[in-house]
Amino acid sequence: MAEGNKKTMNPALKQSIIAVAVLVVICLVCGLLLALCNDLLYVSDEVKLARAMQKIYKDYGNGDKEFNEANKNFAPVNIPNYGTITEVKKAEDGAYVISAKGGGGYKGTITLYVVVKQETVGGKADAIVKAWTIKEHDGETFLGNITSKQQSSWYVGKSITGYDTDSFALSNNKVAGTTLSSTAINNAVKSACVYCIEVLKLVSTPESEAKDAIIALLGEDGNGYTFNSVTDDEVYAQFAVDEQDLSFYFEGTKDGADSLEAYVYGEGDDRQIVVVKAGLTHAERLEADAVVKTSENATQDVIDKVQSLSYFEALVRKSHADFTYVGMAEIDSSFTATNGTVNKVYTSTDGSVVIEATGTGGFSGGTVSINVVIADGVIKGWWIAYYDASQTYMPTKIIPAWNTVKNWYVGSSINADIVLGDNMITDATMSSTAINNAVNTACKYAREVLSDKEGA
Amino acid sequence: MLNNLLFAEIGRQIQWMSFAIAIAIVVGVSLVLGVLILLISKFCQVKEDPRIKEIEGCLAGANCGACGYPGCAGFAKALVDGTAKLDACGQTPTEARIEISNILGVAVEGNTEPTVAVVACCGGSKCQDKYAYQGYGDCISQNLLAGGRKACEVGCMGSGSCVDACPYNSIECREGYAHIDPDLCRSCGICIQTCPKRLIKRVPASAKVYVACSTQCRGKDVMTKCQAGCIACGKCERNCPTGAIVLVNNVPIIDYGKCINCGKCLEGCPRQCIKYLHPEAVKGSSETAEQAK
Amino acid sequence: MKLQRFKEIALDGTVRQNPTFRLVLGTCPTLALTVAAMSCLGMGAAVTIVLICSNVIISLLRNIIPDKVRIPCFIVIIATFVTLIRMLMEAFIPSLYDSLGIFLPLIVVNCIILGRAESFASHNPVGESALDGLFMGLGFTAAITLMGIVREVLGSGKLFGLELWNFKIGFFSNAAGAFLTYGLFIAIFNVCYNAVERKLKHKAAQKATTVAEEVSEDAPALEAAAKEAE
Repeated sequence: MAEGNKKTMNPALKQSIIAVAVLVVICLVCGLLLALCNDLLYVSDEVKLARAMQKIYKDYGNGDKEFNEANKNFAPVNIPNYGTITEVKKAEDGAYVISAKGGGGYKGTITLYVVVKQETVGGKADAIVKAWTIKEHDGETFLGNITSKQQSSWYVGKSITGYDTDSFALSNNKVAGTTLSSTAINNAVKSACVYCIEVLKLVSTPESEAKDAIIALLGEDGNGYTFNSVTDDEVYAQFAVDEQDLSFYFEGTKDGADSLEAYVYGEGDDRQIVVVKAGLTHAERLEADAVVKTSENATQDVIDKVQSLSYFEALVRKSHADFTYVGMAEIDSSFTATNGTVNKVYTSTDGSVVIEATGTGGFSGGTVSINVVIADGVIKGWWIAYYDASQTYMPTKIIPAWNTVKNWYVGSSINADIVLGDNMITDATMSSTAINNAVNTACKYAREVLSDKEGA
Repeated sequence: MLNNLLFAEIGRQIQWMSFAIAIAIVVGVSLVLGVLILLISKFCQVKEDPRIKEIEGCLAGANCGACGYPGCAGFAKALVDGTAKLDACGQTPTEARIEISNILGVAVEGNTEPTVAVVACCGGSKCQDKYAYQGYGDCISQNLLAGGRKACEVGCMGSGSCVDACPYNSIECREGYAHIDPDLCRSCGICIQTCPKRLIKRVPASAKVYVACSTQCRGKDVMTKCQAGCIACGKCERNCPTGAIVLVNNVPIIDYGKCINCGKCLEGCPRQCIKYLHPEAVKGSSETAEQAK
Repeated sequence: MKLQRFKEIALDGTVRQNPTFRLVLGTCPTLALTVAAMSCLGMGAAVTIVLICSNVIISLLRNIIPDKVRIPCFIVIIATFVTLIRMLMEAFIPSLYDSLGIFLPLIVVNCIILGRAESFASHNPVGESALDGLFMGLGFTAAITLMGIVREVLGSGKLFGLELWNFKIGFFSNAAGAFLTYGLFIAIFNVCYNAVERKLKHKAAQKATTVAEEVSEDAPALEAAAKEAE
């Protein structure tokens, strides 16, 4: 290359620069145009709502401007087990339009507009699902199978109080070949129902009424507590007093405060409520200060019953009738197991224990934690405590088969590791393995640590 | 009540922040990818002789494949490699040939005059059949059966193998034999290779007449087989003022170098087996001749 | 532009090089959207608009875009138009936007558009490119609408959404039926096309024969005139 060439550019280089320049310029111009048009033609949420309402609920009109303006920055509300509420708007005629996002779909979530209106049905105040439609979804490819036919038949005209009954059940509201999308829609509708009952208080169910009564009873002491109802018929049966059955049992939790247990008998004016501290041993529970609050009409029989038996004890007594909670034992730190850890050990007067153990080897490397009831060297019963978010096959395969699964391990000796063998659900082998590991870890602990103690 | 939210509220205030980010990303990505394309193309560059592209530009560009190479690009490459001769292509015009020879730096060989193809037979339905042919109607397949159904061994069967082969649709069969339209013919030569009787020949595009018969028989032999075949009477040879047309093995051959396009051979032929290359042009001139009378 | 060229482009786009039945391009939306005839019209309209716009722009820029970055530039231009159409549809024709679903953005990689850009618009003037885009689009629309009508009537007993009768052959509504219908249409179309072409050739040949026959009839008269002239 002579010095003269410095002035004139290598033609190949010049061509290359021109090529890149043309490409960049074209992209720039196109990008400018698109970015501009994006804002010019933006379809806002209000417009989407108006369009949806045009189609399904003309009475929406222009909406209740005051309410909608006030709720412009709505903080999403999570409804456990069902979904999330992302927006709430009100129609001109007073109906609520709820944007509910339900999970469990084919690719992810589906967000619906659910229109719920308070109406008087047969003299009673009720809230009915008036209409619903799909707002957006995460690429649910088979959504095309759910047409306006389903939109006008599923859930429409039904009272939201029946959200956990047959009328809202997935089996009655699904399209063959589109089960997962139908599941997501089902979850979304149910979360909208729960929101209307619990938060908007459009209508009350016996459960929500009981909850309100508890909170009213506790007054200031109840501030910040979240109450969740747990139902287990066999456990509830143990709480029967004379001829009165336990109506509801609630667990109350609050960050940074002691948990509470609330037992509700009867309903309406006859409702008796007893609130006790959670996690107490059998002996501590019989003390007077275990009781936090009782309703005025609570009879002594009821109070005695609740103090003499905790929900946890009743749950264990399903498998082992002699369990009486003495307290939590200290975990032996020298204990190791290859596939799990022991988290808690609940001891009983008769030497039986409930061990909470976590087993590894679950789906995509996650864990499952269970509670095992061990008495006289034999597993009496067990149940699932909790599991990682990654354990997607737990709610879809293991839990639906609980009637079979709960019989695994029952009656097995703790003296040897239990083989996976038949204790497995096909398509959920890894979850079954995690459970197996947890059980074996608990057995090992009972074998090595607890029997030593017993011997001594 | 029409909901005024439907169309009136489309659009929002321009969000300058996201606007700027979008532009930045677009420009950035296009820049990166553009440079990437260039780097890779430099890295993977195939060193091609630039003459190939130049020659390809000069060629007729029909990609007919008659030269025997894959398209004009293949032919150009072969020319540069020196493995091909320029007259393998019948279509490239003279100026382009000169240009190509300049690029290659070699003298161009072969005939530079543009040509068209003609069928040297005019019998067809006028020629007897040896047998009735029932079968796959292609000349090539028919030829396998005792040389085709025509009584004349070099008679056109008119079953259209050349018609199908011609990429310019310039051939059609009328009156039982093939006619090539000289205005459509590009002299690519595919029909010449296709015809099983080897009846198709090239003549200069400027020619006025051509001999439409190839039989080496004479006289009665011919007359019993075909009403239009050349009987080798020699009249054309005698009529020609320049001696351009000569009988060789009873087949009249025109030397187009000597031919002055007077048309006397055609006028004198009793069998009318010498044909005009452009009959419609002659029609025009016959009208003017009548008017002149 | 000459009428001849106009006719040539028009016939090419709609019949001789019909993108669906002759070139077999853009099969993705053809197979998926022809379940219902209404969405075919919508998709056809969208493709036509994008074809015309992108052909025009690419033809305008054909001397500026260097060869090396040809394809990225084409794709960016096509993608811009598709995105614009999508935004306009979402804002003003939401029902059509919902029914086209994912196939609207798929127009970007529809073979027809890039194919015509490469083979026509990049070396032809603007007017011709626009016309080519228009007629290719019309050919595509007609083809898929025809297929859509057949599949909808046979597969779900409806025509443009209106119930005709209760008789359905579910086969035609799914993928296997799509392929079968498409294949049959290609076959029928090509048979008709070849037959018509042959007939036209035959007619043209006959016309030329009458000219030649008139000429050969004049030949003896010509000979006599030439003799007399001597």
